[in-house]
Amino acid sequence: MEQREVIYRHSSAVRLTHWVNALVLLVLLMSGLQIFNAHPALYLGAKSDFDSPVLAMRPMQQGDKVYGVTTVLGLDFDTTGVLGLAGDAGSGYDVRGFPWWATLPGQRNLAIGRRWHFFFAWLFLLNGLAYLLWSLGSGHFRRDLAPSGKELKHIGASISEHARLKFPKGEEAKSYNVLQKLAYLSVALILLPLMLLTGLAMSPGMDAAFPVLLDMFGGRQSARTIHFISASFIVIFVVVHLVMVLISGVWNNLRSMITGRYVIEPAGERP
Amino acid sequence: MSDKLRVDRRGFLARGLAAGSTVLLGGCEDLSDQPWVRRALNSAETLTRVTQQALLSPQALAREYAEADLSKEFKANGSTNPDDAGYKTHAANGFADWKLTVGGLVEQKLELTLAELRAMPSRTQITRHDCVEGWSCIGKWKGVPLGALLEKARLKPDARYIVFYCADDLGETGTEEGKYYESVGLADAFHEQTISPTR
Repeated sequence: MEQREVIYRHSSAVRLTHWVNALVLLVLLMSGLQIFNAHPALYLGAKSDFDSPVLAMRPMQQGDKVYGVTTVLGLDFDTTGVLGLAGDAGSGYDVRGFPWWATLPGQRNLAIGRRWHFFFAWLFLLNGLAYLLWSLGSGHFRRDLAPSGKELKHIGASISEHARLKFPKGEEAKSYNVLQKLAYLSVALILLPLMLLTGLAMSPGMDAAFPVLLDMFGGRQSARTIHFISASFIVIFVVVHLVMVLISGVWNNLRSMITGRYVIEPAGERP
Repeated sequence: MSDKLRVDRRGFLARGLAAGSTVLLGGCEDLSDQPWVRRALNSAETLTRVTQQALLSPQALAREYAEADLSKEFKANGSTNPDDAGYKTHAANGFADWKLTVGGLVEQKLELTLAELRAMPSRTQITRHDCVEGWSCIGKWKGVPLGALLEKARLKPDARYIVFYCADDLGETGTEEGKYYESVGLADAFHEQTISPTR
């Protein structure tokens, strides 16, 4: 019978940039929602067409009742108590997009929210650059993250294994599987750089110097909308990531991202 | 020296713990109110300003749009009709007696009527207004370049910012000090597209 084997899975550079990124993205998300709350609506194009937002969160009065309504592409959803209208009838309602527990600071304060956002945007940039340069230089991308043609061909099997919550063991568990590779690459090379570029495209100064930022995303309001959608995809990624960490051996996963060491279960055995 | 170091280290640890626990408790209001947090956050503003000055040319123009791109409705924030006695008097007679005062650190204080402002060489532009709240509207403005007014008033060498005072006191006391104001640095003040709109 095979022995349990301990491998060194994550390099110190990956571990460090991972945790810095986790903290930085949390602060950016919460301060970003604070900034969003200053005008909780999204539009397409160069300017805001207030009559037809892509997304809007607002209070609506119907008779003597007030609702929090979230409009997505013209469809209204009752989101009272969470989006558009926080609080409850007892303690009083509060007109705002996202509720206090999702924003930084919790109270409405656009100026301080921007301070948090831009400070952490710098950390995000420096940490992201360090990760990208290290990953290119050390071969992390090529060795650990680039999927092979063979892996891509068998992606269907990998999806069905994941759907049945069967995770690789033995030799196969020593490297990322193809779904992990694609997920991590899309976040690191598409979503996170997209956050940076759409963020810069919202700066009037940057737009004057580099008008290509406006053309790239179809206008300043489109850039703001893409910034929001891209952030939402990152939130979805993090939720799925955390679920996978939890169900595929939480202590082993956590240890490997803290100390680097990861236990490989023998292929033939059940956990 | 070593005592001071130890205190500093302890202070640092205490601050770190306080920061950690407030973040965990979701009490980020407290954190935002800490003077050292404010200082740390402000340091990024300096980094941003220095980077922008290095990266952006002060002559770069904001994109200009066509008539067809104009916003149907230009959103106005705050008061569109300030509850101010002086403003109301001026509004009642079409601002015929109103004067723009350019004062402070200038060699030549200016007092210009609307007619005088409109007689000066002007610039007309259709540009996008990006509100700090997040929305944008495209509008058409015509007015004297602010730089021309400042040249006429001749800034003193120690002038660094231009402050604009509004008639709006945001419903506060009605005192001069309570009036809403904004400011820009000299690079923005002398930018080609910075105009003092009269239309």
